[in-house]
Amino acid sequence: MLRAFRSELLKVRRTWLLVGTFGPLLAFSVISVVVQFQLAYKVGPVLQRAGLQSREDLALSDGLARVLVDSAAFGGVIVVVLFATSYASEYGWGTLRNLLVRQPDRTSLMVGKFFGLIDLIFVGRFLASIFAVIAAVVMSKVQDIPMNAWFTPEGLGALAHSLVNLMLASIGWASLGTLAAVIFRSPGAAVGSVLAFFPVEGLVNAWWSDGPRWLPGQLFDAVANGGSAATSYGRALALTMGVSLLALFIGNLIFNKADVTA
Amino acid sequence: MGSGLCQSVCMAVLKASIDSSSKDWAALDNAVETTDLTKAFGDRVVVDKLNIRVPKGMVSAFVGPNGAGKSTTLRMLLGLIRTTSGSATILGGSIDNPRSYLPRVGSLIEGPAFYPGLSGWGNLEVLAALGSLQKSRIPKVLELVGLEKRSRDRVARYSLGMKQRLGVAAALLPEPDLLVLDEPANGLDPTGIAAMRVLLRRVADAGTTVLVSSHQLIELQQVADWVIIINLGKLKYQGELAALLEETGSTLVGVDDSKDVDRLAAVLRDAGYQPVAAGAGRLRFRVTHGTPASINRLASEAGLTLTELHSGHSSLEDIYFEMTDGGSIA
Ligand SMILES: Nc1ncnc2c1ncn2[C@@H]1O[C@H](COP(=O)(O)OP(=O)(O)OP(=O)(O)O)[C@@H](O)[C@H]1O
Ligand SMILES: [Mg+2]
Repeated sequence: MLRAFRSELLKVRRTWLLVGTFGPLLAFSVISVVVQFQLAYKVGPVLQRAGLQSREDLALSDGLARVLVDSAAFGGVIVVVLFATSYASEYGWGTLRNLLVRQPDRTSLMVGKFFGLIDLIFVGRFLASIFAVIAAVVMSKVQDIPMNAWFTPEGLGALAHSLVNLMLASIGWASLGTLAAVIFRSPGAAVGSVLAFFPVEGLVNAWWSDGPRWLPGQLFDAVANGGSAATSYGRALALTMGVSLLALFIGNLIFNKADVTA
Repeated sequence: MGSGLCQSVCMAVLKASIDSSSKDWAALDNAVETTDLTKAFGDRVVVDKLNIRVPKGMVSAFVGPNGAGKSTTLRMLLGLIRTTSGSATILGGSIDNPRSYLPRVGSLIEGPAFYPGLSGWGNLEVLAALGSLQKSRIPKVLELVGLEKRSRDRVARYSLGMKQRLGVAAALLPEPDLLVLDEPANGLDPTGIAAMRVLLRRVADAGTTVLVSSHQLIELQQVADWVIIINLGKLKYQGELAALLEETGSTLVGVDDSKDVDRLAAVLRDAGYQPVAAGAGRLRFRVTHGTPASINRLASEAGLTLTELHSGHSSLEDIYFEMTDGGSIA
């Protein structure tokens, strides 16, 4: 497992992978911070209930934490696409046959790779957060929103907690991406299926009143937000970890059983 | 007089050496031995009760037509696909437990496969890390395949032959006891093909068992010690190549007229010879008895004039055509 992890780390150094992962993460988060601050003056009670931050919200000690979480809204897509492409490309390029001869233990290979890639996501999330914080500081000056409460121990604690929650939510998305790749075994089909997941879940959620309590994407978002109206943080976290383990378990079963003809 | 003496003595020596080597085969240690190895994809049986063996320290040629089941067999040996039935022992380990032998196996299956965004060196590093291999092997194997100057280029910029060379380098990375190569000469230039032949010989002479599947029969004939021929998933022949070529010596005769070929074939068949291949005005048959002179006499008694008459060993290519129905007239 350690060997698979180390070899995956060597792979993630690929320039285009780094640009393709970090680029969107950083760009989305900075743009989102700027937009949130620009629009904050328009946000009244109605938009607040929809999850947007007013000027008053932003000035709270957890204002920065809220900005951070909202700025990471697209993160899930990036994570799930990264995992789906990365695993599926091993089939597409045929590199899987080389890997399996050097590491015949397929579970080790799959899990080691997972940790290698999730590392990349953690680093990306961390960098994106730093950029988001810098953007927030700049924007608070521009918009004249006080930020003294942010850098109190309480504010920093909330920030750190949000960052951890974002990373935990990433694990959920990562496991779904992995499962899709193992099922479809081609980058195109795997990415197509994970992208289709978002609107499909959205539709189901609109019809099913208990959707926010049970649908995976809703649970992952609840974890990122530290809980939601439909579910407590603890429950969302437990279910997210459960869903992740289940997805990886099923993925691993398929991966272990299937012939590698790629 | 002197040369005649030599001929008979030489023949005796040659015969003795064939006989003794044929006795030795049974005792040879096998790097790979399969028992009724079978693979079916759905209803389609593509490897059918295959019993092959790959003697240790030799270069074994694995040949057969497209779709014969070579790659499928090799994939089973490498633990990439499951066997449907049967068993195999590879370097002393069971095919059901690839972990027991794969660390000592290097392979290149169905074309090179690499991360296009990493350099040749970077790709080998990934495999070295995964297999806990010495990084110091990387420059060595790159040099063996003549890729040292371009090792820092991204694989996306490699030519087909360069990728193929990198594939062979990757296979050599673990200093394997068993080297499994599927079509290693694909895309190589003539110099590359010759270099591949030398490399295989050198690797085998250093004690590595080489199992190589290829359609380049002329190349294989120059380097292989052992040959395994399969067709439609079934074993057609396996044995020492030199002995096979010797046993299957044949005679080529030519006649004036293409029409006469059929008559000549009939005459020879009646005399107990086995025609194996026919072409325009030419006929190849197995020598089992008699001399060129007696064949000439048979032809002239039948009113046929031979324009050509050569006796000699077959090539691997001749045998291949015959055993895979690719060139038979029957
Ligand atoms: N994944 C698969 N599903 C179904 N049939 C397959 C699969 N892989 C291979 N086959 C079939 O198995 C047979 C043997 O294929 P294989 O690739 O082993 O042949 P080969 O001897 O390597 O041929 P070539 O010289 O063309 O490389 C073919 O009929 C092929 O169609
Ligand atoms: Mg093949």
